[in-house]
Amino acid sequence: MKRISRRNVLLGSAAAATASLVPTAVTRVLAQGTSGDPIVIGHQCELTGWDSATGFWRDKAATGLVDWLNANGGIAGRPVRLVTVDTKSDVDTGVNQLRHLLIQEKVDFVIGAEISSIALASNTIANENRTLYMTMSSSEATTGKGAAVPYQFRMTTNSAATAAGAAQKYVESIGKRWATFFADIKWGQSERDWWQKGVTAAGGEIGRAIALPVDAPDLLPFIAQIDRSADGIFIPVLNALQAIQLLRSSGYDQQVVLAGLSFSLFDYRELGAVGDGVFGIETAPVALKDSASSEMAEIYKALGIDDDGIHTASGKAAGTSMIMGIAQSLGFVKANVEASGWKVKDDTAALIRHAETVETYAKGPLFPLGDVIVRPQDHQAFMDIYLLKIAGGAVGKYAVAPKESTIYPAEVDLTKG
Amino acid sequence: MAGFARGWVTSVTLVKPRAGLLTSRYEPEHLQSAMTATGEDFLLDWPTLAFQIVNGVVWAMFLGLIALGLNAIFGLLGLLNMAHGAVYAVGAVIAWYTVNRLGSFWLAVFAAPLAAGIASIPVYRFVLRPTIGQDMMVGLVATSGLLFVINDTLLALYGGSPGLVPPPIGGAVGILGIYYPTYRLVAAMMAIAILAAFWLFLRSTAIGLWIRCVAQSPTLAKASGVPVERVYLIIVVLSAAFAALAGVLVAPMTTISYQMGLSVLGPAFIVVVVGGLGSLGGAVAAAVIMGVARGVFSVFLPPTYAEVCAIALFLPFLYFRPNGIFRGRA
Amino acid sequence: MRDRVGIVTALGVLAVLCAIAPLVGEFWSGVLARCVSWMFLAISFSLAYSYANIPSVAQATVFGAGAYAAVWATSLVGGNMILIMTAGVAAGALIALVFGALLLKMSHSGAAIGTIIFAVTFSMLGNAAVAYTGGTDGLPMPAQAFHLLGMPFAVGPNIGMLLLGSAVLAALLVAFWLFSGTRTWRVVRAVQQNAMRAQVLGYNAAGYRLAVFAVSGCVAGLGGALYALISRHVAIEVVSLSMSLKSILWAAVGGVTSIYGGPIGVLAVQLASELLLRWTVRVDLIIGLMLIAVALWMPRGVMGLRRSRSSQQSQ
Repeated sequence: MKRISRRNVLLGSAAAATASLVPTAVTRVLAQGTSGDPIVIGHQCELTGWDSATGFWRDKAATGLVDWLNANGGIAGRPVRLVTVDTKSDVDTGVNQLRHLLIQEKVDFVIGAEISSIALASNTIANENRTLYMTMSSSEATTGKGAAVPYQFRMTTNSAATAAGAAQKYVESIGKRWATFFADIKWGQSERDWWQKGVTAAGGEIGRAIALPVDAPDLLPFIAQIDRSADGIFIPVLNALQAIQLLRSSGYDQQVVLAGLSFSLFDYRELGAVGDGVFGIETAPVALKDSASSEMAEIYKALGIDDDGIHTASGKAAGTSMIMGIAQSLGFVKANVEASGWKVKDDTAALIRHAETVETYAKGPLFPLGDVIVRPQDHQAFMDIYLLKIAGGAVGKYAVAPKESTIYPAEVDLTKG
Repeated sequence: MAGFARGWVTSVTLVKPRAGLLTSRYEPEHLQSAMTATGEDFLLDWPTLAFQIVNGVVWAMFLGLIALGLNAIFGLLGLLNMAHGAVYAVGAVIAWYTVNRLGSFWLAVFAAPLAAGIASIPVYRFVLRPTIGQDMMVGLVATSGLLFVINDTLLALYGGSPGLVPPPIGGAVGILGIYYPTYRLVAAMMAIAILAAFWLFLRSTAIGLWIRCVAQSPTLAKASGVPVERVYLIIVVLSAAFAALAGVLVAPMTTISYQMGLSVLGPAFIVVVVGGLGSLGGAVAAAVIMGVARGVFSVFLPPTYAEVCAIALFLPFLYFRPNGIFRGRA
Repeated sequence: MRDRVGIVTALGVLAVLCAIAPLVGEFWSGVLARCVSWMFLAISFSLAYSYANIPSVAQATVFGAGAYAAVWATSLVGGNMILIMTAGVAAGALIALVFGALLLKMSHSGAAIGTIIFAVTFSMLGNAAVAYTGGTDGLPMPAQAFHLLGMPFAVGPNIGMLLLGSAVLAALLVAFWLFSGTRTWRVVRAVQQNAMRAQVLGYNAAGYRLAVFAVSGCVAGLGGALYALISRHVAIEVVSLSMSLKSILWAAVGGVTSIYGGPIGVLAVQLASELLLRWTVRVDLIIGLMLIAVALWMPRGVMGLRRSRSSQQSQ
């Protein structure tokens, strides 16, 4: 009714469990207009485990966009083969799977995991293997001191960038006094700290930050402690759905801002009426009319997403930030392979040297929403940040924070190595 | 829905925000001045405390309901049922489906326990029964296997995205000087009713008598003609039904995810053992202590430390009263 | 008392791992190296459960303490691997002594719950204390020139670490085998079978149990240090309750009453998962069915198969 999905249709059928025994190594070669040996891209993805909600979108995006690439000339005229492996949202499995991609599948490039522990343990290994690792982690530490490595680039945003860009806009439009309700884990703490910096820089102030212990099944005791005199509440918690529901039913009528990329963690329509007025911070809008980009329309078509941002096969609202991260990572690989004359894996060092000279990736099929800047020092990309707002049961564009406003100081300089 | 969205707005003035004494440890140094600048220098007020106590007691009822089945299976069959939390998750997921597909929450209150109860019959016959009477490890491995199977099937069918079930009853009622969500109180009442009904069932029916006999000595019970096998089956079915029902009742108060059973398992085992194996009242008492302690500590401590203290509080119980709260020393 | 078949089986398994490592290549050597570090964890559970009579659901907490200690030690003392492993052992022993002192007074199931409490609270604190543990991001092993007995040594998921881990484990198992023939070990067994009776006979039952539990802590801590050296990154999920549950399942699949079963249990479960991952995303479903099958048809684990067969023969 609300959602009709292929998965749900399977419900009740005894064959369901067996039907989903699909191979993890999805390999596709649609060599239309391409020739030569395929370029192999490995995808280390959270297909199962606690982070599988976001992994779902990265998997859909990588599979769909590689098909699209192959139908549109591939990379440097060569076909692309995608090998997807499941991290099970677990660091040991994730690292083993990366090594499988590097050593056994001998992939040319890797699109990495979203979970920060897996991403951080993996980038060292990819670096030793001299394989380009396009990290999907949004923990700013990934490109920070002690973790940044030459063979890693990040074409998605991170906690520091989203907070820096979004805080200013939200302080201007919502108000100066903020409360924070954060998950008491690394991600939540770092969102809290960057948000505070951003708000303070924008002339706002932050009251008490309320920590939410890991695994707490009931948020109500903690919600009750949030400062009621704040103008806005920033909530980097994993169970944001429940947080919003409880905030509203507890009489908090403040504006609520979800942490960066939250709309990929869940389907915003789960919120129903309580979702109205909730803000998010993403790298792309959901409805096509908000992006006004023919390139984005093409990507939606390739992935089977309708104009309202609903993925037809699953009935779910698209996790657009995940799709953007994958698209831009593929775009980065394509652009640099073609411009640096990359032929075999040994050319990757030269590709990276070349990539460090490219400051801007112009709007195009895999950079559908506009130019993207890549900072050579820490290999971090900066892109426009979309501030979204749920209104009338749909999530729409509220404002755009230009990429320049998301730039924060680099901690390392990889170009001097 | 409209009533729900308006919520218990009236509690605004009653549940006041507090200035943190110890909480300040949690915050960057320069924020402290901002906090004290608001002039909130009182430490504790009655509404805050009352709210935390009421909420702790309410959650204790659900934890008690979950612990009940865990306790019965441990006490009677000698099995550490690792899959118990997964059944609770199944109940919550069924509630999500009945609300989103069929538009009825109350349907799940009947459907989920029924489904879980029926499904548990073959599970008992083919998985649990062969492990009864063996080393504790055997049952643990078998039920862990069930946990993996149920969780992964939930992931395959329901998916990895979290879900939300809006409370079927909106609004709030005044209690002890605070306003508290009506649904939570109603659900807690239902949990209490079920716990009480189970207690009566144990006290006043033939099956209840059998169960009590088996709990004391399975061999003696068998010798006196008690159908021990049937008692085991009834316990397994009831335990699954109660866990699923707890999942349904909790669904509107939490985020539904296929892994939600894992986080409830630890606390449930804790209250079962602290309360004393086989002691229904003990488990509920332990659950109340845990719930209230969590709330009360959270008034004085930063939340993570409050949570840690509420759980660690049970170490002295285990240390000084190894046979349960009401059983005294060994 | 010495289990000759057990030690031969366990050493044989380790020898086979080391022998096939050059043949199966870099990837599998790394997988096996990690498995060897987990064997310490499985063995430490068997020790705690079967010989200290403490059904510990917190062995991963001890293992994790060893892993973190190894990372912290590396940043303090540099790449001396003996010192790093010693740090892991010391951390494991310390945590186990503290836990053990509290657990001894508890009933059997009480001790299990006590360890659940330790596991849950340490995991929560570790998640919140990002400055010390790196939280969910984890801490990288500092880049150092690692050396063992004066020789440079490449840490990481490689054949060198597999050989080192196997050698240490083999030495440990042989030491245990030798020790299991001594009079002291007979006392340990007596205490384990009936602490009260042993106490009446004049043995310090609590002391023996605590000592065995501390040894299990040393084993877990050493495994943790090796894990840190192999993974070169330690995240807080290593101390999670589900990691402890995994260790129990490994031990049970191998046969919990024999410490020689742990290595087999780790290999059976982990290699099955690793192979299944190539074919399906429903790994957990299949592993779950496998666990049920083990409980039904191999209730005493792999090591138990041998016992039941030999007991059938003797009948």
